[in-house]
Amino acid sequence: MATVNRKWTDGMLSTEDWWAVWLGLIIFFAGLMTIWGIDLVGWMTKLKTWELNHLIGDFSWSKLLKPSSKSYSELHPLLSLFITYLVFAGLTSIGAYFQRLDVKQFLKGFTLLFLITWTCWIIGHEAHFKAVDAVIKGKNYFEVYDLSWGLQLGGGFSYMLALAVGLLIGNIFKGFAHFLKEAAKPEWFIKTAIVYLGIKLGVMSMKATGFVVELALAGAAATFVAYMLFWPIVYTLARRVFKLPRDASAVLSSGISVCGVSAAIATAGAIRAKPILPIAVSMLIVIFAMVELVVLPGVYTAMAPDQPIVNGAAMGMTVKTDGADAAAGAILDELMVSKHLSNSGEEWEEGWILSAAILTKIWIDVFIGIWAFLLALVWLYKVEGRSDNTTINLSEIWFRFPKFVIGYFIAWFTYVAIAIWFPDQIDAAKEGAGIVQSPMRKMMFMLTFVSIGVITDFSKLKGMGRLAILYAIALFLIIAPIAYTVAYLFHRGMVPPLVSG
Amino acid sequence: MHNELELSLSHNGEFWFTDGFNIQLYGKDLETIEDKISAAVQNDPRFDNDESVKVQLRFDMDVIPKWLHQYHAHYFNYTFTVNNQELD
Repeated sequence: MATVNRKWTDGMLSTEDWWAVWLGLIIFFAGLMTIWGIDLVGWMTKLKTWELNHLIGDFSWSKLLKPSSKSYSELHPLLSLFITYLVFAGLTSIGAYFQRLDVKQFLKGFTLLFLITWTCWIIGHEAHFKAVDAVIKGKNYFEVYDLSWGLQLGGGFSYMLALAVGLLIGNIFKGFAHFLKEAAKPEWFIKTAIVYLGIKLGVMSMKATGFVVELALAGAAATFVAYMLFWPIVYTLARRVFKLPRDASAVLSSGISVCGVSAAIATAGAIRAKPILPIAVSMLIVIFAMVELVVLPGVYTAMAPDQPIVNGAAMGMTVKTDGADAAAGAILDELMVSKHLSNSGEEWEEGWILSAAILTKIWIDVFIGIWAFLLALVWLYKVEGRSDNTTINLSEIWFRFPKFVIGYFIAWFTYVAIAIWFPDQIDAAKEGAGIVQSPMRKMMFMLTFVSIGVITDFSKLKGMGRLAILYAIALFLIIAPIAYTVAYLFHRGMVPPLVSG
Repeated sequence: MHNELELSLSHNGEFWFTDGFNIQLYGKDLETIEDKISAAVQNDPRFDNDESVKVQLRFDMDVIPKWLHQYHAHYFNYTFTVNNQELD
């Protein structure tokens, strides 16, 4: 039976996008139960910073892992990890069932992804990789473990390791990558994580309303830049210099300029291109997004260590696909916070740089439906010269709207509402919400890093020829510099608040 | 009288096609398939008394590889009207 979109409710149980909302909100509301003194999320495993020699000398799982909240402190760390696996494997498998995935294969793949993810995450917490030579919450792990050297990458090392392992699987162990593919859903995982991140924005709104408003305004500007500046420039370049056909130029321009694969598919649909076109362009976008994800966080950190929010927002405008953008934002956040801590001894609150990257991107995402609708009209009536009896329905805008954004805003505004109307409940709400938006959200990020690597096969670039060259030129010579300039104009000098403040 | 008809639209790498009638209709481009659908509507006794038929073409997402659905789960739908009287 064909899979088509008819009613506004179509896809609510069958698409990853909606399942990011359900998965996000189920856990979010479970977290909120702490308001009534019920801790439904405290079993979530949290990682501890450890050092190899200390661990080997006296091995104990409790040196590596622990349950997130005190109410579950009696749980053995491995039992806590097993519950974490059961809950997330169970929820995602239910989602996989409704999405008509092969549930058995999904569960096998998810189990292996979970193991790879946690192995990378635990390794990433080894003090030589993670610890920064500064006092954090009264401790300097360099001194605690008497370290003679250290990469001082904070949580960034875990992310980079997960990505490297994913890429290794995707490009060297292709049979294994194929085995994992049913469960390797970076966009689903990251969109779920972004719903959890809505909580963070709720907290941020309370702490620094002006900051959040400024981020939102800059997001609007980013949207204008993406659709009205990047798109025409790349389209003209594709048509005039690379002599690409109209349809390929339009699809590629949206993919490079707007929001990656999602925009490429939406645009191709809007101009009713043959499906092979967005499929080919999507492969290109996924691979280039990976290059951006690997290169840009390090470059921005080195280039402008004192401009964290500029870097985050520029990332949101430059890196395509939500998964790669959020992943790049997360690495950037960890690298910049660690570097600033190591250079100045000041600890920026984590999550603000990441939020700048994501909020900018979400703004761009939200308008893809309207953009595609307008493009469809232009294409139908102006480019193809059709008139009379063909119409595009307004429902197309809804079908193309990124649904995970709904979950993100619900999480955000619920938290704001609690702070406004039930201020005495904030501390209780924070207990559960903190677990959802930190260890759970970070685990979804880690799963994204491994998965995004698994599905990225660089050999797919072969035969892309002109498309790949155009993509590289547009991205690094046009998009990245303009994005950085716009981000600089809006955010220069803005820094996250200090942890102690 | 006006009537409506919903068809799913697919693509096999070379041709657009739809299975809404007894036979499969296909075409290199959408205009060709619209012409064939119009002719099929005209010859279908179900629509003999209809002045016009609004045809809803809904793209079958199964054509797009499953791994891409996580990025975007919609391709396109559109509507065209077959004026039965003009065809007659």
